[in-house]
Amino acid sequence: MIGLRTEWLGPPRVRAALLAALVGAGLVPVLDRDMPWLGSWKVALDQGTFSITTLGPVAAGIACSVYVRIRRSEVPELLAQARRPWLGWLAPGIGVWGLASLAVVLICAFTTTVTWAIGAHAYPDLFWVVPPALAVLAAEVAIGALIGSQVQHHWATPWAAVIVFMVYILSSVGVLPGVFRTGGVTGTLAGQTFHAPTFAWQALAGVGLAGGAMALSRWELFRVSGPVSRGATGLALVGAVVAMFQLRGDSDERYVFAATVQYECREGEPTVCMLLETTRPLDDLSAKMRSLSDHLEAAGAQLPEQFRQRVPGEPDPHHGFLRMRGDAVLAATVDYLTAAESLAQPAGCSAYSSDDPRVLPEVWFTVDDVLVRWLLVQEGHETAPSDGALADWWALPRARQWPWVRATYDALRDCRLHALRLPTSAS
Amino acid sequence: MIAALRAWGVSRVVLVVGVAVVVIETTATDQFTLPTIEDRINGWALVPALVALTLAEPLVDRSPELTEHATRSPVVIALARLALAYAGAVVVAGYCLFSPEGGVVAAYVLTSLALASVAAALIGPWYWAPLVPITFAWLQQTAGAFPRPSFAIPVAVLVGTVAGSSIVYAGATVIRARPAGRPPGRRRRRRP
Repeated sequence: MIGLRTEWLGPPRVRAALLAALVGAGLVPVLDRDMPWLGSWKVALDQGTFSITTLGPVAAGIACSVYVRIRRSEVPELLAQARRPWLGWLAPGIGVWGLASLAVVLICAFTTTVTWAIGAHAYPDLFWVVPPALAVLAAEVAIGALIGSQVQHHWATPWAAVIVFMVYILSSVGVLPGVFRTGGVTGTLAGQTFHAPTFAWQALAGVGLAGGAMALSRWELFRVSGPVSRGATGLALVGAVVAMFQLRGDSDERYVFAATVQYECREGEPTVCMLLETTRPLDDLSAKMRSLSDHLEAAGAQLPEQFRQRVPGEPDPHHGFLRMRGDAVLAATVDYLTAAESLAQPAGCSAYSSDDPRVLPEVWFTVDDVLVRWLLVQEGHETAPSDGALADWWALPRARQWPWVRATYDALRDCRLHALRLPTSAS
Repeated sequence: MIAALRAWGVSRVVLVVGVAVVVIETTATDQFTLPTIEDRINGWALVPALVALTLAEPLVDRSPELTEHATRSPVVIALARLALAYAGAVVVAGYCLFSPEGGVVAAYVLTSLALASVAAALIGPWYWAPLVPITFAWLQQTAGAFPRPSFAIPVAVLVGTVAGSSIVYAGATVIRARPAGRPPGRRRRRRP
């Protein structure tokens, strides 16, 4: 049974070394500077599949090396006499792909487990995004096998890795269809999920390209393979062509807004809620917001009952609105500025998404700056400006600043943005 | 020696130089973005990485049995391989020097080949495997900045890097060429 042997990968210790090399290569893009994926299980899973960016070219190089050795031996001629020669030809490639897939799964398990261990909510049902990524990996391994089989010289090995890496770059910048891009989201994926059709097209394209490349790698054997193999490869190739046309237009739509969202809250005055998938900084944020809110309450302002992390595109005038950049949402702690900015937006008014000054008056920007700074000054994290147009107001005793703070906060809470006024020393 | 140069891949070195020139002419001054990298990457950043990945290939001894029986010393063979790789790198570096904005890149072409030669000395035919993730890390770290003048490598550092890596490579070649169990200085030689 020469067909399904994978001795070409070497003895167990060599396979272990290859696996270690693949994991090591894949971890480089995953363990980037700030590791923001620690703040979201979904992002961690996405980042795990992003390991294919560097792991794939290394796997392609390994496949290239293996198939060079096979072609330089007498094995292809022996295989031609075997009962299932095509399976025998595929077996080493499947072996390389299996090792590389194991490395990707291990990296995904690592990122998601670490994220879960530090408190992120897990979504194990989303593991379905891994198989399409492994289909892309199969295409990369097959390209390496094709190069090795056709060139038949070991010098082709680094070239195979370089070519696959360049294919990834060209796919990511849009020169080629987005087949070879896996993972690598830069946002928080809060309130979002993976777009199943894009991943399905990607899987189809990956399988088709893998089948096509393997068929070309040894056409003589593929030609005499069984009708099922030839038919399946032909169908996969047709599917890949269709998929690549689809991915040319849809490659950016890897993520879509989820139909429903869930919140996790920290009760208090005010109650602070973040989307269930990004709760890492919630304790710190709610503590800081509660501390700052004491000053608003002292001024007589009425806080909304709840501040919520915003779902993009959905104004919510009934709740306060957490103003957090993506890195803050995924971080373990937030700074007081983030807490103050959030507290200074007690309603998610629809006007905030407008560029029209008739809807969002210019004065709001200055008022917002003053209110945020006032909160930070009260907490001791900023100093009151001693010059500028508002210097007189800043010099007033705290109790004389309260009327402006109260009136401003009430207007913000009721989305009466045209009622906002700058403070004056007479206020 | 001509036959050796052909066996080591002089034609591929010429091909790499040609590809590098095409890359420089077509994409070096373009900018592009890659997932997870916030800043735009200048096409120049690809040149040193890709040159190192491919130009170091002649440094790999694919026939150690032949090397063991060679009439020339391993040091000469190592230096000849280095000369072949650096000849290609110097042409690419020279082309960078005479290209707009490419002055800083030239030193990186040579430095990256020096790094690759150390990898080839340490892990032989698998030298390219660590260079792939290193290439990604390089793109990540230099995005938005390379090739600003602040990246300039002092000539002394460049010379030291190339010389040091060449010594490491030549040393590794000597160690590999020595038959197991034979003490240094007792290497079998044949008459030419």
